[in-house]
Amino acid sequence: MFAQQVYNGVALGAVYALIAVGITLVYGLSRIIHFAVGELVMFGSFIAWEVQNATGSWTLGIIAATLALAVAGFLTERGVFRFTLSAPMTGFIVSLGLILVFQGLAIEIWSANPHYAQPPLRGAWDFGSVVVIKQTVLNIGIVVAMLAISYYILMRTRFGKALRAVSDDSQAAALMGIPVRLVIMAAFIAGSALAGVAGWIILTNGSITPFVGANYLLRGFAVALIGGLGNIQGAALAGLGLGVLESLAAGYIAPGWNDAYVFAGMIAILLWRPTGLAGGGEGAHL
Amino acid sequence: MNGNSAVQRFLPHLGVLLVGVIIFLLPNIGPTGKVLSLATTTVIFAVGGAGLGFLWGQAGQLTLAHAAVFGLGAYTAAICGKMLGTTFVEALPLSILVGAISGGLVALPSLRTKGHYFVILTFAIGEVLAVIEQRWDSLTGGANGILITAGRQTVLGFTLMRRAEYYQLTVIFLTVVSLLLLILTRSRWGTILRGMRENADLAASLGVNIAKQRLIAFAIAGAIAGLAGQLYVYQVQFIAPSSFTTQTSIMFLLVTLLGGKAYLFGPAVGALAYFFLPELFGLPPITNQIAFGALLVLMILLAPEGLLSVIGRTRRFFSRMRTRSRMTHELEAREAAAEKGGQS
Repeated sequence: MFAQQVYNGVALGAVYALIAVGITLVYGLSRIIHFAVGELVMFGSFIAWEVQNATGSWTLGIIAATLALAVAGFLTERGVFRFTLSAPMTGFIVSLGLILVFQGLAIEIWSANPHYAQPPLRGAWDFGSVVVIKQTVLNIGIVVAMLAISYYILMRTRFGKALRAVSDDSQAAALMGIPVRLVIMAAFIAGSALAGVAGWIILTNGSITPFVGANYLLRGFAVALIGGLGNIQGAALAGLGLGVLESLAAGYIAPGWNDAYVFAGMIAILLWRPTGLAGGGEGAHL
Repeated sequence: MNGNSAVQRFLPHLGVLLVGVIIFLLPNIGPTGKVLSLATTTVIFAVGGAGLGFLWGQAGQLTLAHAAVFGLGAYTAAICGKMLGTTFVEALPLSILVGAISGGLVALPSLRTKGHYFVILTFAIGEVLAVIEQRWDSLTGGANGILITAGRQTVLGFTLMRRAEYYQLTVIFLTVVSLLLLILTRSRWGTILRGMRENADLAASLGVNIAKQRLIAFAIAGAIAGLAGQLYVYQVQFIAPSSFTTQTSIMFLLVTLLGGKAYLFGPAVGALAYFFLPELFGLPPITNQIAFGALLVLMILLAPEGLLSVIGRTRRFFSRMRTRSRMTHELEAREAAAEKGGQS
């Protein structure tokens, strides 16, 4: 029972970590709290669903979701967020408006009814005390790969160096000849693309509605904040931690109160360590 | 001279009363039942929005738990009415008190966190409250909510169950709240709040107890939200957790921003636009949601100070144009005169 809940928690937490890394990336460079990210995840799910239904291919589904969301990231940055870079709180309020727009559009296009999908891998391995659903292994693998790629790009490439420079001090970075705007745009595109991958993973759980966004938004932010905004390793660890805690709480205490545990825990942690457990940005001022 | 300055001093207060009287008289022009109930909703959300407008515009503090506090006020009134059989008047101090306390509680994290972290914390607090509303079945009725009825109650001579009379009662509350906020805004304390908004460190260095003043501002906004919550319950006579979600908080934000957070009647104008525009255009609810989302984005990018600021700005623009055209006229006249002088 315990081992099973821990494994379920890891599978759950992997998605949170993926979304949180996207949030952290956008925040680290633009200082904007992008609250519409939950709706981006939801859009990713629906695009994957559409493509899979049309072509019957899961691979195409995940590729389409990632690419479509990358385009969405580009458009939102170019269309709105670029004009709010000087006042990040404005960007935050803008993203609240985008939540209404994205969710409304999804209901218009796909209706409010749930859409169902079969996961590409069926069945499970039975290890006695732990039953491992094959699809969750694939999902965890994809998340690990995405996080590894993100980490590699950020820490080992010239482009990653530019990203970190802008995150540290965008003015100094601009003076060194780094194209700051381009780098920020890249962060939006990458963050949104990660949301697309997360959307596909959520679809493999079975069903989606236009309202799934809020759930992942809140957990993604809980993870990003606990890990420390702007901190990728922190986000990955906090994601796993949250997933395991949530799964254990659901298994041993009352599952209906899950949201309350998650947020009460987040509030407590932030009151104890105001910039997250691993330390991160301070947050823009109002 | 003395009388004149007294009149000038209380001109804004008289203005608030005048606006109150004008909207109070709405039932006299014979609106349809639908318009009347929309107008009541508008007034109730104008009350709630006024609290947020005060907090955001004066103290510079943004909260996403406003809908949750509003909901707590509503639940207080409904639960007291259902379980203890309290009347509207008996429940009112309780709703306001619960609103003030929970509003103050929301402010507590601001002692430790700043900026984005704080805003997201207020959001998380709102979510926790929503879960409690949904899961504490024995008290809140869970997802099924609570049905209440005002029966034959009258307050100040207004029968709660009569639509027109309930509307007028809410207008009285709006006027009282607006007057109180006007007095607070113009008081010394209002100046202190604005000082904290502009530069908290500087205000602290001048001896302002930032934490305490901020707590009081949140409690006041919470009390107003609690009051609005009770007004809301007695209007729709039913509550469920689904009425107080993030969407409602975003709606309060939109309403406040739409009218202009720095203006006393900003949230009222915002609420008017929010509830009557869809009716005017006859849009289906989902299209509406998209339109309002887009409107929120456009407003904050193009006119972050709200619709009321647009009026001020156009007036300034025209007065500038007038000055300019007067000056060009004068200049032309002078040049013409000079030319004539040169010729002769």
